[in-house]
Amino acid sequence: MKADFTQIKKFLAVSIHLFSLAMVIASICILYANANFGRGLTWIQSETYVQSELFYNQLQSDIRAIFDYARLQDAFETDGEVDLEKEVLSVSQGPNATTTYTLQEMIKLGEHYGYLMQNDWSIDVLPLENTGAQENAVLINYKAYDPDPVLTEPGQAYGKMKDLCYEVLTNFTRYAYVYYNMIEGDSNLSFELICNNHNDMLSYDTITYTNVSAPSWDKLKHMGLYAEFTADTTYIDTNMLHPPTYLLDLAENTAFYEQSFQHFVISIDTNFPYNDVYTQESSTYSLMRKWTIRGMMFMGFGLVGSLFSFLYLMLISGYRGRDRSQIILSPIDRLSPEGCILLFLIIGSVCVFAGRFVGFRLLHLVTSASSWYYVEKLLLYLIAYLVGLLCFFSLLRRYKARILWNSSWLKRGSAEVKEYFTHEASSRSCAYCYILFVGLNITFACTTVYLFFYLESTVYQLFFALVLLAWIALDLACFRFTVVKALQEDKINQAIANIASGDISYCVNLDEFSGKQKITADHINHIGENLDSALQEKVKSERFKADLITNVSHDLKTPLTSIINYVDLIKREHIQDEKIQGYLEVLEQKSQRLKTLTEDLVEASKASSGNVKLEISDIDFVELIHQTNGEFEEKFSTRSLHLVSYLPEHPILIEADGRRLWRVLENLYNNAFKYAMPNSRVYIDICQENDWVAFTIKNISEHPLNISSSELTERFVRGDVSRTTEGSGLGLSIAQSLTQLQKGNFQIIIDGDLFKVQVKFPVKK
Amino acid sequence: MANILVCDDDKQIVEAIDIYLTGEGFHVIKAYDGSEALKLLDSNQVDLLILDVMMPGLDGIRTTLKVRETSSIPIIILSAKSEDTDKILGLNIGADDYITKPFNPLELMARVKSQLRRYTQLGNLNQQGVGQIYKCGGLQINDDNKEVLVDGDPIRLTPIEYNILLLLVKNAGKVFSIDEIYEQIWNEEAIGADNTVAVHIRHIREKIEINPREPRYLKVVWGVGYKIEKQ
Repeated sequence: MKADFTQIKKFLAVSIHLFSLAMVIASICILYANANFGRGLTWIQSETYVQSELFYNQLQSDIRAIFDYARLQDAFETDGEVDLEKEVLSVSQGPNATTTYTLQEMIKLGEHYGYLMQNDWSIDVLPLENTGAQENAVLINYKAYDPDPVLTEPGQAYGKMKDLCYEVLTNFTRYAYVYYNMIEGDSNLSFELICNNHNDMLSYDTITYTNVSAPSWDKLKHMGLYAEFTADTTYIDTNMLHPPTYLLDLAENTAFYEQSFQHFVISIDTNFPYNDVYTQESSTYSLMRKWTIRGMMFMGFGLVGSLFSFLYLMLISGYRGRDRSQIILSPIDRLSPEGCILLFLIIGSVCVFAGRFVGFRLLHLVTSASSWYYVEKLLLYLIAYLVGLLCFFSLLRRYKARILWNSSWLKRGSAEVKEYFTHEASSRSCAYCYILFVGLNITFACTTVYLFFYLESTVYQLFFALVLLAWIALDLACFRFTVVKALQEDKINQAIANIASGDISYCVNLDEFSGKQKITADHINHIGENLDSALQEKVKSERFKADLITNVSHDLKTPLTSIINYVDLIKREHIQDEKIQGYLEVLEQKSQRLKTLTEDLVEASKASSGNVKLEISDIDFVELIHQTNGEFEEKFSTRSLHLVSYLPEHPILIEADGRRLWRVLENLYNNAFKYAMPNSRVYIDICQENDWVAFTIKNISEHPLNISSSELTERFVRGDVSRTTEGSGLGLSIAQSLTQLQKGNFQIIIDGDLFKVQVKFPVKK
Repeated sequence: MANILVCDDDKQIVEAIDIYLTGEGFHVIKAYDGSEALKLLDSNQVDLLILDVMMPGLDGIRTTLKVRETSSIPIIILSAKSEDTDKILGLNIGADDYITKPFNPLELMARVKSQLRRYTQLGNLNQQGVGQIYKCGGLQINDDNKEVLVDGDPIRLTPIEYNILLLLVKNAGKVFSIDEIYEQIWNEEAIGADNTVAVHIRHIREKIEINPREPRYLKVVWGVGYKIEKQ
């Protein structure tokens, strides 16, 4: 139920908002459609028409018209009637070519020129095509409406017929306005203008211009507003809000023909009994005033209503019920913000498009042509507002759900740009940058050059020259940036090469790098550090192992010494028992084996861990083999093994530790001695292959070799599985380790019963 | 007979050595650590000292240093430490011989006797050069009567072996390659020298050395040649 209640609240708020919006639109319509549109707001302060500025403007124009009327009466009137036949203008086109125009002729001529008089006595000027012929100026002989022209400049006596015609018509309409509206027609305005017409210096007539036949001014003054002004005073007797002070000017300038201003009185019946311009204006005024005030109120209420409903909607938008922890998102909110904005833009555009073709036509049906412009605008704004509103609330819900930034393309874009600059493969990033760079450069160069020549002003050229310089500077900066990056890349490559070649403690200076290269450099340093520590760890553990084995072997040796010695002592007792003699044999043999084992164990562990200090010197490999052969020849013959050696006659020098190399050979010879089949040959040969010298020892195994060559070099592996013969099983392992320590190559090849070992060393040059 | 002080923390080893030495007719004084050995040295007339290195308290190395402050008796170090560095250290600080455990009792006896001979008999003859006598440590060659003595004991050598040894002793310290030796002894150019020289050398070594695998006099410089260590 609560949810429903919230939905109702939402619905209400939306309704209020839309209603307020409607009010605003209505008020705008009212205010725009008002006759007083564009006059500001001060006029509203005058409650009635007669207090309004509008009224006083009308009055002033009427008073001026009355004075004009007085001046023009003689020109257009005969015996108090408008005389269309009256001659108003006489001009000469040349000598003996004088034309006189009557008023009617002038009106006709005016129609010819496109000057049309309207019912309200204004002149409508129709745009006429240029007749082409240049109209000649004519000499003005006489103007009825200006009988005594004061010519101040040459040329004023001439005029064009078109201008003269307009002049005549203007003067006539001024006259006719007063004549037909106030004198012939009924008017709420009553006036009396008295002038003196001086016949000569001494006598004068009094001429009265009035629209009331039997004036009783006291009565008229009480009908409403009035103003009275007499010559020779500066005081205007009036009850008007704004006294017509312009009367002073008018009176002073009223000195036409021989007349002079004497007295002027005007009164307006504010009950407006007659339907004249004042009556109409008054009723329109009050109506418009009423609607303007209403429009203002509508506008105020509408704005306040829409503002508050908008704020309320902002508060409750996205929530359902009282639970403020969860934001309900509509499917459209799942789009990214930019996508949403784009979608709404499209919707807005479609609406505007539809509005132009459908909405406008409908509006045109119901509104007048003069307000089309406004209503069209209004419709477009309304569409924009509604679409914008929906869009805004969608974004607002996103903001509340904290997905506005996270789901935006902008974020993704910026993240991608960041990613691009940190992880993009160098070559591709370079290519993109280069294309962008060249593209921008070309575009800019073309634009600048074009503008430089197109704009001729020095200031602009200077400006563009400066811009060009700045651009070149930017290009150089780009170049420098690229070079710096390339240099950093090179340093990184150098560092990697160093580490790869074994200098794992190599470090790069991080200060020399920036951006992606800095990260890489940092990683390289870490590789070095980690490798280094791992290696040191390994070395440490190997050394520890070797130390352990050494110590254990020391501890084994002491009891072993006693065993060997006491076995020997028992033997010296010359015990005759055959059985005990046999046991002693076993004891002696095994204790000797234990002795070899402990010694070999230390050596093997040291050799395999590299914990051996080599004394490298130049050694003649051939000499060494001779020496070794000498050592073993007799030993081999005890098992009837014949040593066959093929050795080069010239010395072959290698770099090795002589004693350790002897140990290798000793082990190999011993191996052959132990496992070779008796009465067979042991082949020894040395051959030089390019930069390597290879020593090979071959023998036929006494027992079948059912193990692989790689297994043989493992520690404690022996050719005979029974392990009955002497030896520790470490011989080949030690030989291999020592060979490798001296940068040699150790290889065991087993081919059936043929056992072959090859030891290779690089030849010293 | 000579008094020999045997010092080892392992009582059974001391016992065994005692049996062997007594069997050879020596008088044995037993000690079980360095300080005890030093005390016994002061209170007894000792002709030779057999010393273990790894002992509780005063170890063999420091004991040797102490002994050498006052005495020049022969010292044989008997140690489980078989590293070259250990041997070099022991010999450098004043020991006369270094035997690694487990040792061959006969070798130990031989070395003991050798040291004693040098200490008691040969020491005084050192400076008397009569005729063509070449000396190198305990090795002595009298070229006049072609006699070779090792620690006073005469050695029987074949003529070629004698000539090789004489060549090496005459030029003690110098390394001769197989070819050089061949050319000098056989007086002909060595063409494709075989193992002859090496075999002779091994024979000489077996005759003059107590332990041919660890020669004292005739050393093999592997891959280069042979030499007599200059002493």
